[in-house]
Amino acid sequence: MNLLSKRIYLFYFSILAIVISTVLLFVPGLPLGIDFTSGSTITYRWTDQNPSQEQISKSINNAGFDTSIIQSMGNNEFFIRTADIGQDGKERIDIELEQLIGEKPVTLDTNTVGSSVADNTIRNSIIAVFVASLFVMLYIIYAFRNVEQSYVYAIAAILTLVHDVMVVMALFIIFSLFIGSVVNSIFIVGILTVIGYSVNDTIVIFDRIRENLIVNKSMEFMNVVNQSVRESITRSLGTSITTSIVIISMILFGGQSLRDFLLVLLLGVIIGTYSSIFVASNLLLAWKYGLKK
Amino acid sequence: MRFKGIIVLGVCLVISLLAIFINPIKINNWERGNNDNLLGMVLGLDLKGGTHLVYSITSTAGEEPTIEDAEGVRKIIDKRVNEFGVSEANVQLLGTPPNKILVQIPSQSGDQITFSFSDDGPTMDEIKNKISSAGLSDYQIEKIEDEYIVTYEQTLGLGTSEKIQSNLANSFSVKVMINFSPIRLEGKKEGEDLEFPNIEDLEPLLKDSNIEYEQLNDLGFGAWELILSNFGYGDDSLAEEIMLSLSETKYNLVNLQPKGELNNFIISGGIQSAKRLIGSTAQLDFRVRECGKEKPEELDINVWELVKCYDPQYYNEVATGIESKNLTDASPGTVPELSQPVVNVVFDEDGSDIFYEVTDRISRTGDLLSIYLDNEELVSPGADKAISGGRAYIYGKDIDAERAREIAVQLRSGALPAKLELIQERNVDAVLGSESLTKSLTAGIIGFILVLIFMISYYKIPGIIASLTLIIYLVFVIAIFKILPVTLTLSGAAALILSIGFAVDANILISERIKEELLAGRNLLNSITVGFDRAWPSIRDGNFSTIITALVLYWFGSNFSTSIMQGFALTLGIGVLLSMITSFQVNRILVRLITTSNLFDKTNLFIPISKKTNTDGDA
Repeated sequence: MNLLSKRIYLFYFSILAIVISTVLLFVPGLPLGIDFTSGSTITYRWTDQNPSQEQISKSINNAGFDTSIIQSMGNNEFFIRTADIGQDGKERIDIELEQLIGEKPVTLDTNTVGSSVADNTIRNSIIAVFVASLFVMLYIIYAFRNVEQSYVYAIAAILTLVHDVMVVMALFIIFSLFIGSVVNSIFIVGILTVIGYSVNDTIVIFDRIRENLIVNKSMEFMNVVNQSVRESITRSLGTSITTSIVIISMILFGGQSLRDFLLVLLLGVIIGTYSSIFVASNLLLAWKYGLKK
Repeated sequence: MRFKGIIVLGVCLVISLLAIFINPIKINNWERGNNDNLLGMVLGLDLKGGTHLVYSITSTAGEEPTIEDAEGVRKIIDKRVNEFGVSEANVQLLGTPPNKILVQIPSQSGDQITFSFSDDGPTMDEIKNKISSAGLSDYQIEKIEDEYIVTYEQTLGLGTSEKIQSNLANSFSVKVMINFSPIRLEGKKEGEDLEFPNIEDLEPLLKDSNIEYEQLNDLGFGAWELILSNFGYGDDSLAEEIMLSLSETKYNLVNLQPKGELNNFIISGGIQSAKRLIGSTAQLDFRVRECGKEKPEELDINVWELVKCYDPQYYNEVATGIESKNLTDASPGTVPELSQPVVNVVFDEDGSDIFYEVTDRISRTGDLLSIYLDNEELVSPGADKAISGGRAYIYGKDIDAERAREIAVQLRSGALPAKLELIQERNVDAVLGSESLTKSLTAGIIGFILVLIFMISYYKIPGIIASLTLIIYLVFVIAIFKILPVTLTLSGAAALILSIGFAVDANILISERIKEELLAGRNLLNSITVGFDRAWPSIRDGNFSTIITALVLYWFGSNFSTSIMQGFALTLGIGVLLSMITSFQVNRILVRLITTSNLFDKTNLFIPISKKTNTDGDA
């Protein structure tokens, strides 16, 4: 079976994916949550009822505010941060809460609140990832020093990483349109995790190519790559299936508060596996043979 | 050889299990697991919750702060909490325009109150009763010699400690022991010639001074016992008032000693330390203290030498212009000349120049250099000669090692451009919601068990080995996180999940490789040896790249106070390093153990189900 027989179409498909992702990142862009924007805080107290955080979260959702952070302070008091509630939002939330919980809460305090992510966090994260990528490239060049043009592997690994991050973000944007996911500070961590997964996945396949190149010196490069991909595909699928099992069970049965974060991880695992097979190796072939049949 | 491996593994496993399940672990001053969290781990604000502090911001002139000042306050507090090692705090401005700041910090070591009564104090039960009536429950109290120590796992909340203090100070009777010396009467025989004050002498005086007391008992021979219930704490004004009113008798008041009053009440603990760190302005300034020049005539020359530099009515202070902004670095430390902790400071160019010029001047005039922090004098040394190099150290009588660390962090992050006042202090639940998290943890465990089932049913014996390796890996990781300790937050947990993924991956790689060698016709032992050798480069390269990434992210996180990145990188680095070691070494030890145990013919059990009939390797 020749997985890369349609390599030229696959290559254009990857380019297209990156182009579409770039567009989506600008329009509509990542849906920024309350960690990045200013919003409102409300402190409620119930006299008799002791509502759960999920009940409150649901009421706020019903009142038209997608995300909220709800922290219990004891004594049936809750500190709530949500998007800017404006003039009439508070009233809508009050009504929803009363309906769901069965008792009108006492409002102890309301306030507007600034973003919780420092301005430089995103910029620092991007620079850090950039620098880390450079070091990883140097390591790959060193680790692959026994094969010809080892820098090609390094560049291919990093391009695959860029592809993965872009596509995961784009898919997240698409999901957000349907299930209202938002980007909060933990999203940064999700993307960092995707990066770690992507690099590892790519390197495992490149390692196989390296090994086969050394063992079968006379074999044509394209065949070596094909054979290596085929040999590592069970491992790639095995790993991604097992990791996905954990993530999917957490999405399905776990708490609501981690959903968006786990979605990033799941997208990362799927895209990472796909790209290590169809993007990373394909880049090596594109380098060696260009884009002609 | 194979037994050595098993013994080492067994010992590590036993130690790790002990570390996980013993709570708390105490070895001298070293303590871990002293909380009620899952397995005694340290959990962050998002997973466990912590302390919710709200401060009002006012400009130094006492007015509404400007937006720039509020932003400045936020940046500096962000920096302070990060540098102090509080992982992933939450700092947000409140109000439009911002005039308050919300700071949520993860659980610290809780509040601790130490207090004692002078002898004859209340009983333990009475004390417990009064603490409960101040609204505190779930606390622990112990008595060590004369001191009572109340420990509370979280913050006491705004006003609770004041309430406890007032309850303890004002609800127990305090006996004030009073002694008068007698008046000797002429012409009486010995034994009857001494006259002591009686109740009519004392009662009106106390009534006139409006002193509310419960009883006044004559103990005989000029000794009296005055019993009061609202003695108070912190100042001696009531004792002084009693003394003043009673000294109006013709008898000589020789002694007045309260018994059973609260004479010590100190609050300490991680939250207190964090509050000092966040809330104080930390404006350092250096002033030249020009000692008095002209001795007033009525003073003795020896007395003058003692007071001319130390009594505010004789000296005069002049600002030097060296302030917090002139520092480029500050760190806690010690110096050989002093037995107490100091804060080492490094001046910028302007600061160094002024410092040189000032020390040069006072070394000649004999004046002093006074160092103030938030308008409180720390210390006022003189100088023997001009000090160049732009380095100095500061200390003060109340600065212990903990305070020195706080001050160093404050000076490094700069003085606040506005004044803060604590207006709310509460305990808060996890940002992500404890109910939600419990559900996610359960789901994660279910997922993990599914993974084990998948691996065992697909890979058979290698699957069992991989599963055992994974469980051992988890035990090691949790033990290490607890011992170090690593504060576990969601970003840390994400890194942990990723490193578990890597461990799974490494085990699958090994199993796959062994299978391939078997299918290629090698015998079992040979396949295992070759399989491990072939799997190693992939595991090594993937894991090394990740460790490199973790190092870079950690460095960035700690140097640019991006704590979310730091937490992720730390957990990822440790997790992956450990995963690489365990999946390779532990897996190898277990495989060797099983293959050499000769229990049954196993070769088939090393080949996954789907491969039996289809041996050409195609998927």
